[in-house]
Amino acid sequence: MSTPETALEDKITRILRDHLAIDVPTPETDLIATGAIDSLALVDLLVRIEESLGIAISVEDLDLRDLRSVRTIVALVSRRLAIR
Amino acid sequence: MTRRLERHFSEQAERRPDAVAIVMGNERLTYGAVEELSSRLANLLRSDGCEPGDRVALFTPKSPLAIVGMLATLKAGAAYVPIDAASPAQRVARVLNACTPRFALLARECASQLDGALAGAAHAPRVVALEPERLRGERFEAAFDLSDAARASATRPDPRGDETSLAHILFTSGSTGVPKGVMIRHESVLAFLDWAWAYFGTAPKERISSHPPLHFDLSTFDVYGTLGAGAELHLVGTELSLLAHKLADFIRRSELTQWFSVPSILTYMAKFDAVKEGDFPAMKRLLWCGEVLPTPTLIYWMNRLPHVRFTNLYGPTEATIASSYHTMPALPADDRAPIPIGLPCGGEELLVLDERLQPAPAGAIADLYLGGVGLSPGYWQDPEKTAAVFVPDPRRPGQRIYKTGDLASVGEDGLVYFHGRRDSQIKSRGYRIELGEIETALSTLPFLKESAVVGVETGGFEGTAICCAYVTADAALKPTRIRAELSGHVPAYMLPTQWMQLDLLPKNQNGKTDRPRLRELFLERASSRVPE
Repeated sequence: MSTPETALEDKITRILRDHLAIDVPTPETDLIATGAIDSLALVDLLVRIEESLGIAISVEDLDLRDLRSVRTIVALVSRRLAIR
Repeated sequence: MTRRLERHFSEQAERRPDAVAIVMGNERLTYGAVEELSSRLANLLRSDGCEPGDRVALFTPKSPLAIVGMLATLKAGAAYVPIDAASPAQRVARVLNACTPRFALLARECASQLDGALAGAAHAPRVVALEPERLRGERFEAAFDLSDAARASATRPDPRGDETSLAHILFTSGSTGVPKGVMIRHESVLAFLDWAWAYFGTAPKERISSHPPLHFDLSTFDVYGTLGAGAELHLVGTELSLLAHKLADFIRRSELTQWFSVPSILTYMAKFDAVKEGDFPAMKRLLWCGEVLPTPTLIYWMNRLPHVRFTNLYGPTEATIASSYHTMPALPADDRAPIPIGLPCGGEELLVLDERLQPAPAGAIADLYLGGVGLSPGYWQDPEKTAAVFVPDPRRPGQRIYKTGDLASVGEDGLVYFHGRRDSQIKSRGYRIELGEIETALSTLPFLKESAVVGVETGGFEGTAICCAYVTADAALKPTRIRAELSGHVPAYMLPTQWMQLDLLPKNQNGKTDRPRLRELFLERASSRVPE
């Protein structure tokens, strides 16, 4: 059983694992408070998401709460996919 | 009169009690409020047995109360030890064992870090919660909280200690895996501040950034340089730096007159083009220190902010904040023009010396030594490491000079230029990292047969990228596993960002790991990588 959200969750989790070597225990894990993601990893993550999903994420409008966890990133990406 | 850091603050508090001293988010504390609160907390510490020379550990993120805690410690005559919030428990335990603090000032956010550290520490400090209630964990219960401080006397305690007393001990990465505690005296910080106040003309009511974390020695310039001048200290939380546009927005809305940070944050903002033409109209000066600022980044900023004065500061923690400066007289000639580290600040000395400790000829690259008023007395309880780098001044018996490990030259213009490191210390996002500390931690992981860590200049904003090559005992091993294990030993900013599994590490003729070859391997892989 795979909804679009869980498919996206898997995809983001894989990007974190394969490109940033970061294992995320759950989609709710706070990536920022746990120190998993710093500015360096953040830039890398955004570029990878843009490439693999073919969307553009404008950094000017980004808010930190969009990037807290895999779940919030999925919500952000879903909004961008809907606009497209 | 004895000059001490907290006295300079208190003088300003007497002069302007209603002026704003510290700002963070919606929180604003006046000079009067900070003076009163820090006196109450100091009296509480003293009534509970705090003695001159004691250490007080700070387990708190950057906050107005953290600054109050620093001032309270100094008023109590003790020295504080800021604990890196990113440091894993094991590493914090080593710091606690080394400096045996009598007290720990604790914010809620750091309670689990303290708990974890106490599991491995042989020494347990008395805990004072910087919260309205007694915090507790599995291994501690706070003896006091802010309600106890509120009942303590608000009268400023009689001064204790003098300008030669330690103000703080700052722990930096050590190559053998044990962090080194750099001892800093009041007089060393004040010597730099005297120069900086005069040179920059810091005025009351200015709005000054506090960006580096409190365990970085650069933060002591922000805190005491601002509060000793009657200006406003605007604290920048860690998370604010994650998004370049949000940070630019913060500088704009706070109408900062001075910005001081490590270069990587300036490059990050430039990369995202977060600064507009003529942005930050209130800003007078922009300073950086801690690593090399790429010239293209500086050109970007100077073009965007023609009304601002740009100054490069240079200096390791061991010589207190900064030892030399260079203010840009004009735009750099081109993208590759080197930016000098310049001339010594007041009372400091920069010496480029050969192996016999004689001045190197003009233009020659040799070891950079520092002398003068900024020198630390050395590393906490480590005479051996101290003697290795704080060496007798060959020109003046009884005086010392500090061997930085940096390479430098004196240019034809008489200015000093930086040319990298002699050893395996690197700077990544402004953090000073001994690659040996990471390798020592890796060597404790049982599933690795061999590993090596090299720093690679990738041209990214982080400065040097930390790259790890490893050989496993048996099958292929994902770097996620190594990273997760390693994060229990070193702070997040020391975790490698590039990984490479090899069958064998390349070796040189002496049988040692061929580090130049490893760097090449990482560079080759980076340049061959095609966008997906």
